[in-house]
Amino acid sequence: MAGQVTMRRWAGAMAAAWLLGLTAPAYAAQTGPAVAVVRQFQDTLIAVMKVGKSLGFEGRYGRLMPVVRRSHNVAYIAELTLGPYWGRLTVAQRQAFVHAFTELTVATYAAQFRRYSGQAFHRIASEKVAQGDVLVETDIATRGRKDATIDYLLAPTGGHWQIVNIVANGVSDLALKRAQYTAIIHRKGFPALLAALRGKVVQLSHGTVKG
Amino acid sequence: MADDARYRARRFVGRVVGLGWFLFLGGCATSGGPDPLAAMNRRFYAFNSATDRLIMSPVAHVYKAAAPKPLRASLTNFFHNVAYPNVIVNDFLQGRLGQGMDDIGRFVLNSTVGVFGLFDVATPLGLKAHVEDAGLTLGRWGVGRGPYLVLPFVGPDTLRNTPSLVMGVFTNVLYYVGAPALTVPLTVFDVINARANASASLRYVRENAVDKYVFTRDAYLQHRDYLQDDGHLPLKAVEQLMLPPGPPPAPSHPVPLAPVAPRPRVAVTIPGRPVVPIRPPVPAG
Repeated sequence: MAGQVTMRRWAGAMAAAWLLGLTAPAYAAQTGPAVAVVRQFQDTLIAVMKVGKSLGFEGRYGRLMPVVRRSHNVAYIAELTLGPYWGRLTVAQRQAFVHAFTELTVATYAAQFRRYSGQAFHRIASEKVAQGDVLVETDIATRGRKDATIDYLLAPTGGHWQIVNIVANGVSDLALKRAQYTAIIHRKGFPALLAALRGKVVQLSHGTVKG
Repeated sequence: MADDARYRARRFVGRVVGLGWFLFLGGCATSGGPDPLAAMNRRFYAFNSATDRLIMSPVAHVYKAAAPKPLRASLTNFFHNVAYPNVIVNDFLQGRLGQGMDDIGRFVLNSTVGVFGLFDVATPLGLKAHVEDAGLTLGRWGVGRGPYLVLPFVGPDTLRNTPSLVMGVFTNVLYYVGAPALTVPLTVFDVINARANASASLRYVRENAVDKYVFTRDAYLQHRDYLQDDGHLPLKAVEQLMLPPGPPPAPSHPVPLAPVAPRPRVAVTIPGRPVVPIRPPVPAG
């Protein structure tokens, strides 16, 4: 009797292991391409930081622009940041906004990832979330000491995966931008927002943001 | 007899004040947006920014130049350690007995082996620092966070978190040292050191924000929610952002926008990039 129970447990364990063996690669196949996009983007950030000083702002900006365009769905993020106001813009206004938003996104990366002091990205885990999106969870650490948790939300676009939101220590970049942009439009109008984005790019490129 | 009457009167007043405060919190928690006091908050935000620019930032700059990094790291550990009983008390108030015992171990270890907390010897031994305070405890007890506040000289806060300001004083070891000649300069150093440590965060705000007030407010509130949820990603809130937005609020000033038009899904060209659908439907499977 005891032998039968043991056998049943063993069979159950084998079945579970077989099921896990089947599902794990399938799960990895579902999220793997999204994880690869994040890894590639983070590798580029580290590479740019390592030569950041010699590249200068313009050099970092130039290196990051094509990578950001490839890895981020900037147009979609731009649309989401305006929330309900996007639908009220003309095509020309949308184009101007996406252009300014793209420049600001890249300029912000170029300003923030300007020098290397032992930073590394770790702990890449991933899961499928609502609407078929994928969440990729990572940490950034400096010399082994964790600085922040950085999670990427990716959505499938035109056959490949692109980042649509970044959440650092629970703070959503998209939510922050939407809160600011809609507040500016609400109080001052769309031209004021556009001017603010363009002014920020100039400020970052001139290195006038001091710590 | 008279003492007994006074005691009863004090207890009654205490209960009334406590009840009133909780009712006020509850009322604020259900009063619409997170920032009903925006006009006052913006004034205090401007005041704090000016104070920082004129006084704290230059002082922190001198402090960073004068104190080597290892010294600053040790002072940070020290100030963190003397304030750590606040975390322990809130661990137990939240019913986190295991975490509370771990945090007692962390405090004892750092205070002894770590030489009055100058060295963090507990973290490498697996006793990681936790973040708990009165605001998070009240949140765990179900109290709403109340309106967002910007307090002069303090910065971002919420009404629910204001008891932390008082509790933080009474749970700090320095409060019980009883030697003002020592504790007053240490407290001043604590403030300067904290400001110096905040330089990177403040720079991050300056680099990222196009509206610093809104940026700071939303980042603070999101981060507090994240701490309230024990550092778990607010996935529902993140997913919510991906959904189609509702109608815009009425503008406070006439806004030069185009008339409302049907919302096309394919309309944007990024310079140097072919026209592609912004986000085509998710493929099946």
